[in-house]
Order: sequence, then structure tokens, then C-alpha cells
Amino acid sequence: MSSRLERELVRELRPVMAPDELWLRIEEPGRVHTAMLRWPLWAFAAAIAATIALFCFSLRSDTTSYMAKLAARELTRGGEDVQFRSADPAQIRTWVRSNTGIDVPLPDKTRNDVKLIGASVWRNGSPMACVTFRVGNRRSQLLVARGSAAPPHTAAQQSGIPGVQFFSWRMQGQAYLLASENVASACVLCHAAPRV
Amino acid sequence: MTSNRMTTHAMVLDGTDRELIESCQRGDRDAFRALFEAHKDRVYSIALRYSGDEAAAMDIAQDTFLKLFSAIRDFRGTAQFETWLYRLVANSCLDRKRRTRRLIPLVGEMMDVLRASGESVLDRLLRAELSGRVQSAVKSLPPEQRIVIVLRYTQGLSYEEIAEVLACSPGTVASRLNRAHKVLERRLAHLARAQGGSHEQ
Repeated sequence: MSSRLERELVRELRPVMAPDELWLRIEEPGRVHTAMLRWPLWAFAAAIAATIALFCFSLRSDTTSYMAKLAARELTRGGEDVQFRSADPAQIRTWVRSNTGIDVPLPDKTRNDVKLIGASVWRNGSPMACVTFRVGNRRSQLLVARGSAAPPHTAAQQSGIPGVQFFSWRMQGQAYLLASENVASACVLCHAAPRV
Repeated sequence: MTSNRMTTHAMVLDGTDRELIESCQRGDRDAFRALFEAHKDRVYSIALRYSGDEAAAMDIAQDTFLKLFSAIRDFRGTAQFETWLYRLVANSCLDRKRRTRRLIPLVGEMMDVLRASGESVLDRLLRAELSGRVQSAVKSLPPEQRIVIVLRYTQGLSYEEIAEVLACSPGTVASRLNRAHKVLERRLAHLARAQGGSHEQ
């Protein structure tokens, strides 16, 4: 054998350092053998991720559009029927939580021009809470639904139909929809000034 | 092959290993970790050079240590520990079927090239090309020749030591090495021609 080949073999087959994660594999022998399952595993994971993303997307649009439909129906109807009547934010929050498990993060004290009317709960598979209030003389609603499969936060979106404006977003795994004749003014339910 | 390389890896059971093995046999968890730390590079190197694939090498090394830890109670000091360890890893290598294909070897090699420093890009590409071809040629050897080559060049074992690990005669080792060398020379001949005689001193 040529000395050159021998040198190449010594160099190319030189010892290397073991990766740190090898010990983890020894400690957890139940871990899958990556070489054997690596590609099927990645393909499977990618397929699952794509399915979940599609599901979340459809869930988000479905939930939001359903909430918008309900809010539009209630607001165009003109009445102020609520299942739980109260002007106290803490009482409303407690009632909604005990009936749906949904936490509506209302402020402890609302602005003077905000008048809370009460709350209702609807169920369409999963529960949905609706807080009804007035800002000045404009009726408004805040609808909240659980969305555990959805991303925790998303950018807000504005939409509407004639006579009702919507502002929807996701926060901490819940879907929110604010509906009002003038949705910018309805933001003052929780914020000091209109934010839309 | 240099002689100091051989003596560095002489297969003796020194005092430290003996104490560690005894602690492992008593179920001492820290001793398992210490024994692992002492031998992990050796095991992983053989596995990597044999398989030519990092993920497969991890599997082989994992198998080897799991076998080692589960069987260490049966280990008797009369045998040499490193011979036993080499035998375990060699068997894990030889047992391993060709389960995986290296799907995108060039991507990994190119990334290694780009991460390297101190040479021109062209030098690094040529080095990577050469390295890839040598390793590919070794990987194409039949398993019984490949393991002999790896034990010889990765661990620097003598013919007698390899024979002890593989439970065969030194003559068989010499024969397999000779056949492997011929195959490698033939497969890598174009590299020698491409680089001319400048490397031959």
C-alpha cells in the first residue's frame, strides 16, 4: 500500500469527539433511533404541523365569523336582553368564568361614559361569552371564545357589515371580537382611549 | 502508522478503569457516567468512521453503551476491558444492517466547508471533495474489511489486537487489511493522479 493512501486513511479516519447529547441517549434508551426513523419522522411531523396549522386557521376564521354573526344579530335586533344583568365588571367577570371557564379581562373600573349592561353565554360546541355595554348611546358587545388550539396572539383585524363594525384579535389563547356601530369608541371598555 | 499511536491505545486495564468497573458492577450511577466519559470518544469514533453517518453513529454508540452497562456485571477482570469494549462496538457496527442511505451527503459536507476557516474556499472544497471520496470508498468496503480498517486507522490497533477484538487470527486480519487496501488504492487512484506526484515525498 502506498504511504500516501496510508496518510489519507489516518487523516480521514482520525478519532473525533462524541457529541454531548450521546449521554442523553444513554440515559433515555427509549429514545428512537434517529437514523432509522429520521426521515419518516420528519415527514410525519411536517404533515401533522401542516394539519394543525390548517385546523387553527379554519378554527380562527370559523370562530371569528360565528362571533361576528351573533354580534350582528344581537346588535341589529336592538334589544338589550342579557342572561346576567350587572354594571359591575368584577361580577360579570366572575359570572362568565363560572358559566364558561372563560376569563374576560375586564378592568376593575370602567370609564364614566361606559355603561355595562350585562353578559350572556352561548354554546356552539364550545362556550362563548358576550358582554354587552354602551359607550355614550352606542350599544356594543365584546365576545370572547376559547381557542386553545389557536396561536396565543394574533394581529387584530377590522371588518364589518352595514351598521356594525368588528374588531377581532386573539390573546392568550382566546378569540375576541368587539362589535359596535362605531368600533373605535368601543375600545374604551378596557382602554383609556379609542385604539382602532 | 506511527508506533506512539499504538502505545497510546494499548489495551490494558489500568487502576482507574478497574475501580470504575467495580463501582459500575455495584450499580454506582456516577461510575457509569465516568466510564462513559472515559470511553465515549473512542466508541463514537469507531461508529462514525464505520458508518460514515452521524445519526447512525449515535445509534451504534448508544447500543454499545447500553450493552456495556447491562452486561458489565458479567465482566471479569481477567479479560481486558478495552478489548471487550472494542468487541462490543465492533459487533454493534457489524450487526447494523444498511438501514439508511445518506440522502444528502453533499449538503452537510458543504456546510462543514463553509464553516471551516484558514483556507481559501477552493482549498476547502478540494479538501472536502477528497475527504468525501476517501470516506465514501471506506464505506463501500464489505463490513468485515471496513471494521478492520477502522480499528486500524481510527484506533491504531495492531494486527494482534484487532484479531483479539474480532476473535479471529492475525493472519485473517492481515488478509482483510490487504484486500481492503487494494480496493481503496484502486478506487482512490484517480485522486493520486489528479493531485500529481507533489505529495509523494
